[in-house]
Amino acid sequence: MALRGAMSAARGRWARSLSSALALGATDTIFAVSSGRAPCGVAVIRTSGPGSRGVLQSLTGTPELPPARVLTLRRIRDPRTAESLDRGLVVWFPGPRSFTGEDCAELHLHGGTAVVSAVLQALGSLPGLRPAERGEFTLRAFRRGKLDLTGAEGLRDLIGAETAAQRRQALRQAEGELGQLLQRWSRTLTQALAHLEAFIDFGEDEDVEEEVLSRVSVSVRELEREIRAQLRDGRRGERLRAGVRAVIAGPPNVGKSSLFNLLCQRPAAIVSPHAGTTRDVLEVPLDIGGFPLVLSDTAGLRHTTDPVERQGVTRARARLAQADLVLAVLDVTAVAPAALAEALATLEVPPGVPCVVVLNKADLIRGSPSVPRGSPSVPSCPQGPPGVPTALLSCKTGQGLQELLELLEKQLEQLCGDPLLGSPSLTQSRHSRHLRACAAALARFSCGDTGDIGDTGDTGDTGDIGDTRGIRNTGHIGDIGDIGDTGDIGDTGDIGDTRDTGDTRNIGDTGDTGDIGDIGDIGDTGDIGDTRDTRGIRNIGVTGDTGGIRDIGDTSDTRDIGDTRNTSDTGGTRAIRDTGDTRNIGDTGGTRAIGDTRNIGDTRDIGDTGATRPIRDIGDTGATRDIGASGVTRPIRDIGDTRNIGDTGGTRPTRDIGASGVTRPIRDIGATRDIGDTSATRPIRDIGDTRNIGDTGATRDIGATGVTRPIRDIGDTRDIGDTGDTRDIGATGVTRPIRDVALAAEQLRLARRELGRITGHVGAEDVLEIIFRDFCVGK
Amino acid sequence: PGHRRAGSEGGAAAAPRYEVVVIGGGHAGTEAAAAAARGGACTLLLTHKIGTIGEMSCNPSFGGIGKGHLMREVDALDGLCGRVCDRSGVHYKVLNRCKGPAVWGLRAQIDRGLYKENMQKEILNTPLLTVREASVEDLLLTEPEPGCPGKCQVTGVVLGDGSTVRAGSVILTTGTFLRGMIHIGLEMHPAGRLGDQPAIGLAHTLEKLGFAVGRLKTGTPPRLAKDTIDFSGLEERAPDNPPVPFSFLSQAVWIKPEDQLSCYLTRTNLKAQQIIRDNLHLNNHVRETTRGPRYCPSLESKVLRFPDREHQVWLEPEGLESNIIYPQGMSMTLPPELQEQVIKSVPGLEKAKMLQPGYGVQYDYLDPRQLTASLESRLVQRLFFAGQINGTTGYEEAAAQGVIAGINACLRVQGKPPFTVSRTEGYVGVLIDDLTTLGTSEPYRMFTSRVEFRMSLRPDNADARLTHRGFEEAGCVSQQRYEQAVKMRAALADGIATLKSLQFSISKWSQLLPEAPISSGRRSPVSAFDILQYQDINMEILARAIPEPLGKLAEWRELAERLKIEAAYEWCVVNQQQEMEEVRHYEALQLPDDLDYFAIDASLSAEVREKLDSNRPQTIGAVSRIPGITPAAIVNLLRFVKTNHRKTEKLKVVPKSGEYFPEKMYSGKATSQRQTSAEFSEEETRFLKTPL
Repeated sequence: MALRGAMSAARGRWARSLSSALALGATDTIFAVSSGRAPCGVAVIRTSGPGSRGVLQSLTGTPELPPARVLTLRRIRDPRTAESLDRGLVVWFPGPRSFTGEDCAELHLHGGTAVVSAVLQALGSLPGLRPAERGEFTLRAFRRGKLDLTGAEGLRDLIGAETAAQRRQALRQAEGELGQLLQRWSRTLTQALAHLEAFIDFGEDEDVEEEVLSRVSVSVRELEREIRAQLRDGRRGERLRAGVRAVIAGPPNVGKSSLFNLLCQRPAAIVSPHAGTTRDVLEVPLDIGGFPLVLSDTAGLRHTTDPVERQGVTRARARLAQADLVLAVLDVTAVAPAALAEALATLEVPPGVPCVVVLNKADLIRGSPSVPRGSPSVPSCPQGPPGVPTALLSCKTGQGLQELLELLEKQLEQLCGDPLLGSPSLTQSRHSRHLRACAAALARFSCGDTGDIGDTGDTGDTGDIGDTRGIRNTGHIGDIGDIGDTGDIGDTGDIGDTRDTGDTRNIGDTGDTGDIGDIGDIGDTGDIGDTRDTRGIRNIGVTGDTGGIRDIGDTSDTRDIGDTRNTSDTGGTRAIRDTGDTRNIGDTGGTRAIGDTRNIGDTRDIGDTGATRPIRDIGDTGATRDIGASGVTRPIRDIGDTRNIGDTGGTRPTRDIGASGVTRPIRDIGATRDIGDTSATRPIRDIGDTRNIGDTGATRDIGATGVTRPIRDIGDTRDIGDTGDTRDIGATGVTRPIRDVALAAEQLRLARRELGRITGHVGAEDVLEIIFRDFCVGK
Repeated sequence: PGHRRAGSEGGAAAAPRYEVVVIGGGHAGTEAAAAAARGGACTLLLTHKIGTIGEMSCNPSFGGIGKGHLMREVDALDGLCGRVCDRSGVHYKVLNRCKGPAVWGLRAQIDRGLYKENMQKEILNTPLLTVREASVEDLLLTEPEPGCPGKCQVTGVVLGDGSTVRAGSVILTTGTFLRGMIHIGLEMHPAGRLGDQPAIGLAHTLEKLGFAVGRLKTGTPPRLAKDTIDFSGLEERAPDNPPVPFSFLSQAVWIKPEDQLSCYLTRTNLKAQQIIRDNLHLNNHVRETTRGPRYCPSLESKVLRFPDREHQVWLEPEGLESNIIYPQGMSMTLPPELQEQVIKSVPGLEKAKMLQPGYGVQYDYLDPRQLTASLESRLVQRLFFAGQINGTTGYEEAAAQGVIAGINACLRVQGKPPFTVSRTEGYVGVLIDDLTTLGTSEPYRMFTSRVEFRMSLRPDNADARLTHRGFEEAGCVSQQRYEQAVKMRAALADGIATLKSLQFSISKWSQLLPEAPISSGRRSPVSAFDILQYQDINMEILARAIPEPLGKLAEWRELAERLKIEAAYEWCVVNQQQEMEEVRHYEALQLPDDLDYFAIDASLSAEVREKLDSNRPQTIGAVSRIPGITPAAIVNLLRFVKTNHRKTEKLKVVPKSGEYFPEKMYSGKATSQRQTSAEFSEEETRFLKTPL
């Protein structure tokens, strides 16, 4: 009540005080309780604005201000009645050295409800003062340039931080580290832009040499590399800020909900001995080793006829598809050690998502005769599948919980990164969105021959991406949100997460696409004209609900398709390899010549495959089951001897490759020793001048080869080390000249603007200042 | 009725009356007078000497990067300098040929004598335009028109002989003549140009009226005798073949490439540096603090700022018959005998004879922030300023202002709304906006980097941007030029439509154009317009492959070139559209003329208030370009104006949500009393997301 009174009083005053503020030519002064809600030990009331001086004077009843930025004990009085309201500490922060940059005052009072409301009322009675609006202190600080947008975001995150790692990350950002990084980039760009402008405006007959151009190119390429590296952080910062989404998954009745309750230390989920007890997804935020975790308990995964349970399973699947981390729970007594991998596979964990296997009901093993009582580690305990961290646990006794927590912490560390190490994290999706746009503009600068932009033309609405046409030979596209209508995409490397691809029409020739990340909800992809030349699409992550893809011409060499659901009507597909979990492939029409299909994880429910034309050369199809009504399956022949090539280690590969049948011509690779894992060596073709590849065992070293033709021709570079390197190959090789400098400068402008959008820093660029500082120009 | 031609006025009884009086016959004055007359105003041009009309006081060249753009725009408004240059040049060359058509710089070495002759012919034969030799000593003033800013209005001028001429509007284009002072070494004497008297009386008048006046300096190099220079060891630059004319009306320039003259490049060495360093005490001009042009630096300042290196010197011919060479890059103010020493230290010039020493000029200029976008002064109604007096340097900058001032002086008399060019429409718009909102502390030169929408504002399309407006709104464009522009616009639209409608598969294109590196693989049909974007494709090649219907398009050479450029920049231009609309939006957000920035209740620092008050921006767009004005200040001002002047309907709300601003960021626990969230207004958001 008192508060409301103060407020209305303040509003009235505010209106009246306008005239006086007008005369002063000044802004109004705001006040607010900045500590927690009363009653509490100490309450802090802050003011900001030109009236702060008057606040201190009238509330302490003396014209003498306390020394700046020093706590001083004063009696607080109501200026109207001179009644003593409290005795407390006051601080005077004269601007601009204050949080908001304006004059500020703080009153540290006893935190009683009556004290606080009396002081607020007193403040509201002063002319020119009004209660602050939500966030207004920060807003004023932003407006005064005391912090940029990222700093303000960091501050909010710091206030909202719930775990130690979140706090560290937020503090770094609030202190302006991200802002400084972005500003440094922005300065680099301005410098490059200025030099380019000098070359344009003065180049010809005024002493600006051509080499300026190559210097600018180098610095822009370096900047692009740096930004791409930042973007490759795998959403660590965002994950740490929002919490890692961990999902408990497993067959029914293995103790998932027990684990859930154990981890959140309370009976949050109903537990019963009946399989299928859990239907809905339960969610609890946890702090594990300082990292935030949002843990979900899900229904047991099984085929069921119960409609409610089936719904639960669907929800569990959906949750699994979005998981950052999966806790796969298995009943240690129900799974034979050798069958662990298979049991894990049935859970259909999305590929690429880290997984911790929890073997529950360890107490039952201990009771079994084969295990000696009291043995701390169970010798017969099956190790999980290679490379998958596994913990043995008894939810009942709590045995193994500590080890599990340590395991989880390790995983979380990897997922979130150390917020204190390396460059400051990108904590908001808008950061990476603008940064990607920035990098894309820089890529267009670096692609040099801007004439090529032309050759893809024909784009209608490019939506958020804005510039997909003419993406030729682009390395690493990061996360893409909201692709509108996309025209022709040229050669694309590493596409990150793509969300909400709208209507994609006429994807003409998609050239080499590598490592497409998670793709969610591709809307209606009508008529992907003829993607015959889609070479080497690798590692498509989780593709959810691909609408109606019609007429996918001929996607040769599509590998590692993650979890594709509801793909209907696919035309001819060749060489699908490592298809993770493919479910519900509807009507595949004429699937012909599935070239070298290997390691198709768990393919089931291939519904109606209609007329499957000869499927040839299926390599190792892994666990293929339930190819239900496959209609007329014509002879499958020539399953090459490709199976064991997978791990040929490092010797005599040439012959073995020969045996694989499907290996396309590998030409001119100097020394073919030590090719390593040749199972994945798919078409290496047209590596132009590969003389110098030399020792391909260390395929990463390809990065160092001098003369390499554009990436495009390397074909499928997946297993030649990190594809990150391939971009650099292109760069160190033949640099094509920039033909239209004006267009190139425009790209730098666009890139700079995107950086400005992240920090909220805008303002006129003073390119001319730099030009006249750095060059002797003029006639 | 009542309009008198030259010589017909006389008796002191009735002072002659003109609708527009232009003072000064330089590059701004000639364009202003001609534009006013083309617009239908009975116009008088007053100059000291008719013989110096069209004088090129400094370098013997026109155009260049950015400057060539301005000339194309002057020409698009039917101005004179482009046409005259096409009849007077001796060496035509397009700069930046290999850096993209958006930044091509049309340039030519001009024969001084020919230029003057051709310009005088144009001026003396312009209908409605009278020319008179007289000096102007004072202005006739009267009470201001009510309802408009300004403390008085001009009604005429007082001449040197004490007689008066009455005028509807007056344009001042006095260049460097306002209290002009020439410096050579330690000597100085009053002059506007070597051998010409400065204007003192007018300077007093302006000062009395309360105009803020500043001082600038510039300089010009010595002149050399061509027959004493040894060109043999120097780098020669030949003109273009074929030469590209400046004017949209010219099919070709007057002179054949083989008859044109070359320029030569030489460089100064450390000897020159030594001479300059040793004699700084003899060089008043350089030592003084008056701001000189960074863009037009003297050799002295180049040597001092960038020591120990060579500096370019271009040896440029002054005319076909002339024995004078203009050594561009050697602007000096040393005493003449030392200038000779410096000259002789340069390769090729060892025996060169100095015909005239270089010198510096210091002169008054008017702070252009006292002008509106139509170049009318705020202080004195109907008084316009154009050219170097506004703080610019260069013939082209002067000419561009001249055209705009001439048009507006004419429109003012006719009672029509002013003709202004937006930053989104032309270089001249950027030039005038920069001057009138930011002012300048050094001679202002046009650069392409000053222009936000360089991709759209190109030399090739100046007619499409300005000729229609010039004809329809300003009436300063001839019927013939207008029809030509209309025809070209239609042909471009047709051509683009035709090219876009021609669609084939890539393989078909590869067959059609075997010589072109069209990347294979794309299966969806590709239009001829797309194909035209390829660097190596032009209309000629396309027409060879598809004679029908492209043959006709390719035959029209100018059209073919423009189609090619349109294709190459289509992407960028489309991309800039939204940004251009934003700028137009902010340019449309007018600020009240009478705003008292020291009194208004907006959260603005004293410093910002001072800047706003001294710049008097006319639009929010202009505010955003004042250096030192923070985005926050813009937003606060915007808010203030919006709430206080909503009735005026000047500020329209554009429906667009600010997706770039994380609106929830202020959900911290700073306060709990009020739930009104402190979100940014949408204008604010737009400022945040668009660095201007």
